[in-house]
Amino acid sequence: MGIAIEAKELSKVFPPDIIAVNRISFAIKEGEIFSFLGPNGAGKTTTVRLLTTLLRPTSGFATVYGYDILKNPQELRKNMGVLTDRPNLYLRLSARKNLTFFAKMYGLTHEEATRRINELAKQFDLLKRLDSPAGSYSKGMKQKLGILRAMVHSPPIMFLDEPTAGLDPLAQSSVRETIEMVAADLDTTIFLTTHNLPEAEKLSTKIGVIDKGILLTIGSTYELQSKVSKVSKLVITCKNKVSEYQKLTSKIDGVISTHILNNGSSIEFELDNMNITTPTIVKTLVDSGASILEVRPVKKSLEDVYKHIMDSSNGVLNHDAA
Amino acid sequence: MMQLKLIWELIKKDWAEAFRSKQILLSTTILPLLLALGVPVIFMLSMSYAPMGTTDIGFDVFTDLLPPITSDWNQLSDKAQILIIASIFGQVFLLLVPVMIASFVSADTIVGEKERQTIEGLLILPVTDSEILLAKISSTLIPVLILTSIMGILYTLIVDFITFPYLGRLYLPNFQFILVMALFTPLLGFGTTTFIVMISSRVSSTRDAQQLTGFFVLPALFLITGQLIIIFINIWLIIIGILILGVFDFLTYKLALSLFNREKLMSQT
Repeated sequence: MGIAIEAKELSKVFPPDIIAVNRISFAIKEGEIFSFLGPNGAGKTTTVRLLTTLLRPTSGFATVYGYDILKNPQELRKNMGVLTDRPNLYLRLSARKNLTFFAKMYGLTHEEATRRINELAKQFDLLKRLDSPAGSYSKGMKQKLGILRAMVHSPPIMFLDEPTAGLDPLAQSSVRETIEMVAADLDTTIFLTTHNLPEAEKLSTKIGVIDKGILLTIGSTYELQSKVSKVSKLVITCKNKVSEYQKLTSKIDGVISTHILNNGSSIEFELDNMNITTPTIVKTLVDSGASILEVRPVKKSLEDVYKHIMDSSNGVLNHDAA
Repeated sequence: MMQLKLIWELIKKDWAEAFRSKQILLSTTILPLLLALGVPVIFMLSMSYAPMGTTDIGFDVFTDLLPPITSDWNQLSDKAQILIIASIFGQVFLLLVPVMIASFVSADTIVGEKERQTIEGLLILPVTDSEILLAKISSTLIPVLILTSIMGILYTLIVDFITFPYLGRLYLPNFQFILVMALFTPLLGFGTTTFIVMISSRVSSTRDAQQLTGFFVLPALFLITGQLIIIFINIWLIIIGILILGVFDFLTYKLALSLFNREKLMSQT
């Protein structure tokens, strides 16, 4: 897989001296779904606007699918689909007219555009409302139509800036399903910014966290979990004699702490190193005649990881600012 | 190289949007129709019925001051002379059509995209600044020129209908009128539209754009209206006017292009 997006020391300073993006560097591979997380005003949207040629960087550079954002903006624009937090639709025109306009602007012929629009409308369940004015659509449907607008020319890369912001839970779920379908069907690289952590966790193959314009961390969910805490958690459920087994295993090297969960039949272990210590615990239990029902590593949620990153960054960033 | 096909798609999109708004349709047809046809026709009709030379200060005092407008000027009756002058006065009103419509419509072209939150969608399209600018100018200018041409034809018919009994021949179209309609009017329309589109790309609301347009364009136009009546009498003055407008249009377009700033457009969204 090649590199889809590469940013090197990318910065954006708005007059007089507001540093929106501060020398961020990262690379995203083709086909990845990258979620960019961060609080309001962290620099997510500015980064998207820089990568999509809507803004010019103050310093640094970036390439998207090999196109330099400064040297080849036209070529880049032909090869990307962008959805900002607004669907950017012409509300007086029908959904079909909107999609046809954008398809033609990306070089599709009338026949190609018609075929593609019908195909998308069918796939995303918009066929019945295709000839209604976009202004008559609900907020969720507008956003969904905005996604179709961004993908009407089958771009290899899509930028989705907070696509579910301000939507009700049902609409959010519908838009999320649409993004999943886009990702599954097109093998498209997706750059997604969101506040919705479960959404990011569900959709992404890679995650980046930005705050005050600084890229705090980047990696897969697993990598981020490992980065934020060396301690892993494991839950083992046994048939009986749980407290006896707890005492037995708590002395094993690498076990930091143990406690019995509320159900009375499961022990939660805090471990130094999951890969080394888990087999020792299981062997000890089996040797002592335990009937093991389940061995389950406890994943730290993205929310925990995010909170941890933000908490530790606050200290660092505030210290830097001081 | 200009992507003419994409410019055309942008123009068609703007038209499709505009023609769904009754407000725009009314402002682009009714008012100019009244101004360009109604006022001169009423003026000419009242002239055709006015008694000539019955007072000490008759119209002949005025017509005697003017240089000959046609080759047979001195053989024409006072009434015919005054009707010809009135028809030139009407041509100036006809010229106001593109300026008036452009003032209503172009003010919204770019800032309207900001207000309707479609500007990002426009700016991420694979088109250059000059292609966006040309599309925005043309989407106003083309229908305005079509409308002006139709009004020009109607005006010709009306003027000939009123003047024929006094001249014994068709007065319009003549070379001056063709020059004015084919070159002077489109150039004035292009310059005005470009100037207003430029304003539209620099302000934060359509109201601001309309106020600035009212502040700059309309007073300038009313100032030169008086001069235009003199210019339209002489063919060489018309040609000089066309050349000056050509230079003005070129400079205005270059200025509009240099002031078209994607970041500024984005900063207010």
